Amino acid sequence: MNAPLIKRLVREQRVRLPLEILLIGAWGFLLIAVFAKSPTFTNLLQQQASQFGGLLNVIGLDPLAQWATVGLRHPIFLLGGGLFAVGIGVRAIAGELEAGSLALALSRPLSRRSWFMSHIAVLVPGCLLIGVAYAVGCLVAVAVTSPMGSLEPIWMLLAGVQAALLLMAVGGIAFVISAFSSERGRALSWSVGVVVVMYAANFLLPLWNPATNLAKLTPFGWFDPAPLLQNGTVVWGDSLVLVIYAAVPLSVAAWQFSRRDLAGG
Amino acid sequence: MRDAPQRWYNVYMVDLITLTGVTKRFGDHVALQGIDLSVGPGEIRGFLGPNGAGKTTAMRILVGLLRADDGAVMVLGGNPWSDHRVRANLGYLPSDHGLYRRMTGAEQLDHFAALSRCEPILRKTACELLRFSQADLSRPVHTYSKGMRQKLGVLQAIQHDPALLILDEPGEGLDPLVLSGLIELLRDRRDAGRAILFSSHVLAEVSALCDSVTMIRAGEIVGQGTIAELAQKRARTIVLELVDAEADLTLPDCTLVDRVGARVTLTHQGDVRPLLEALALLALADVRIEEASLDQVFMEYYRDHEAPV
Repeated sequence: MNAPLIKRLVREQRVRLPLEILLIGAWGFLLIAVFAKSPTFTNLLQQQASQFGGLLNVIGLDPLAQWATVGLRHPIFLLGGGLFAVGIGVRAIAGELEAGSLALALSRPLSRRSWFMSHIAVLVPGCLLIGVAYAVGCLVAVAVTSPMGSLEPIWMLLAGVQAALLLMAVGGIAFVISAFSSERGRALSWSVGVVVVMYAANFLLPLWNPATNLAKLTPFGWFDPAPLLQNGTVVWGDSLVLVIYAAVPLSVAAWQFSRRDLAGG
Repeated sequence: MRDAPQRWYNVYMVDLITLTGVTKRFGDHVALQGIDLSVGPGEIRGFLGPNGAGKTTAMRILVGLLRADDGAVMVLGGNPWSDHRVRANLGYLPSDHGLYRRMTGAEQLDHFAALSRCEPILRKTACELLRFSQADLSRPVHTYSKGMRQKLGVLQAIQHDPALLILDEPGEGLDPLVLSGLIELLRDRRDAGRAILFSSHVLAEVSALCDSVTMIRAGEIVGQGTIAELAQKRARTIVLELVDAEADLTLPDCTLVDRVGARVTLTHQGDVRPLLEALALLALADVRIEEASLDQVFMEYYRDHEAPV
């Protein structure tokens, strides 16, 4: 890792990342606040849970925990968190290569590994901050609005960490596409496309019985904070798979980046 | 940060760049075909060639951005592809700047100096010669003109006084005043023992600055040496004004280009002494012998080595 490079990357994120953290925190807050102030949501959710319970895997949950789970699996959370993870992955290689800044930086005594690891050093805490921001938003809303039900702070924070693992897996996809590309636009569209297809597949495939298990091919299939939020059960296997989903593409990206020609730009 | 880059290269007078039989392919396209190149301390080497000749590819190999498919690459005593540490003593200006648009000029220079792990000991001098003010440095790069971005690019490459400078068209977009400052700056570095390899399309810039040139075409070196050496290898032009317009002309190693009345234009290539002896026997009203200019040398080298279409 390289301190001046990390400093620059953090500086680049000084507006974007806090905004995304704020957005996710506000999302968590609003979700719980709306739940607390509108009892009809509770009824509606319970009806939906029985209707789509298999899909959302949230049957039998405390309504508040169920609501918080929905928020973590909602496209708005993915959009807010994915924006950061995909953005940093796409820019790390393809974006900087196209801009020419990668060539300039790597003409210094800076190894490609150091360049890559410095980006990971920003990706990981960034994802954690986003995940935790959602938990904090929800917990603040619980404290302020006193909704029906309860959310354990520690479980909520652990769910935020699980969400961060999911975001890292999404970032890993962007990194690996970026490592094979020389154009920012192409890397971005492929990354967004792959993530959206995976997200959609995770919800649509279970609707067709023969394809139910195929949802497990995507990292979204392994992200289920419901047991954790309901009764503090950490499904370590799922978390481990999410870690692998993040580590494998990041390793492939690092390998490809270390051996590729940097002729773009 | 270190106080200054290491200088041992100059002490031992080894070549700072040595390319031996370097080949680079992009798929079926051969970008470089077995090129040899060496640049020593205290030398400014011009790297000339038409667009797409392979100059930028060669420079990217020297910086470690591309890996040579064949041949040996030694830069500052190591292979820049596998050993990033050799780049501590290198300054590189790519043709496309690669600057961060939202950073100010000063932030940018500080960042690249930090990445180089060197004090920017030459920044002040270079800013003065390139007419780059403090006010300019405090502005974000996206507000810069093309010429200012070019100046900042040169500054980031040279500010830490590296032993080797690789500059891809450094004079591009600079006004004549700044260009003369750049030439002064590079000459000063050359005199301090630094090695400089730069590409350019501006032949006046090359002849004003270079100790030697390397000409590349279609990925192959087609000429290498000092400008005088290259010129010597090319045909010189001889214009004769004969006293007798009908006189027979038999001159060694000469090719007739044009004959209008008493005025004869020839080209000559080879030893000049037999020619002078033959001319002494002729009745001449006037004679003019012109060495090939760099432009002519440049054009002739390219014409001689036309790439197959």
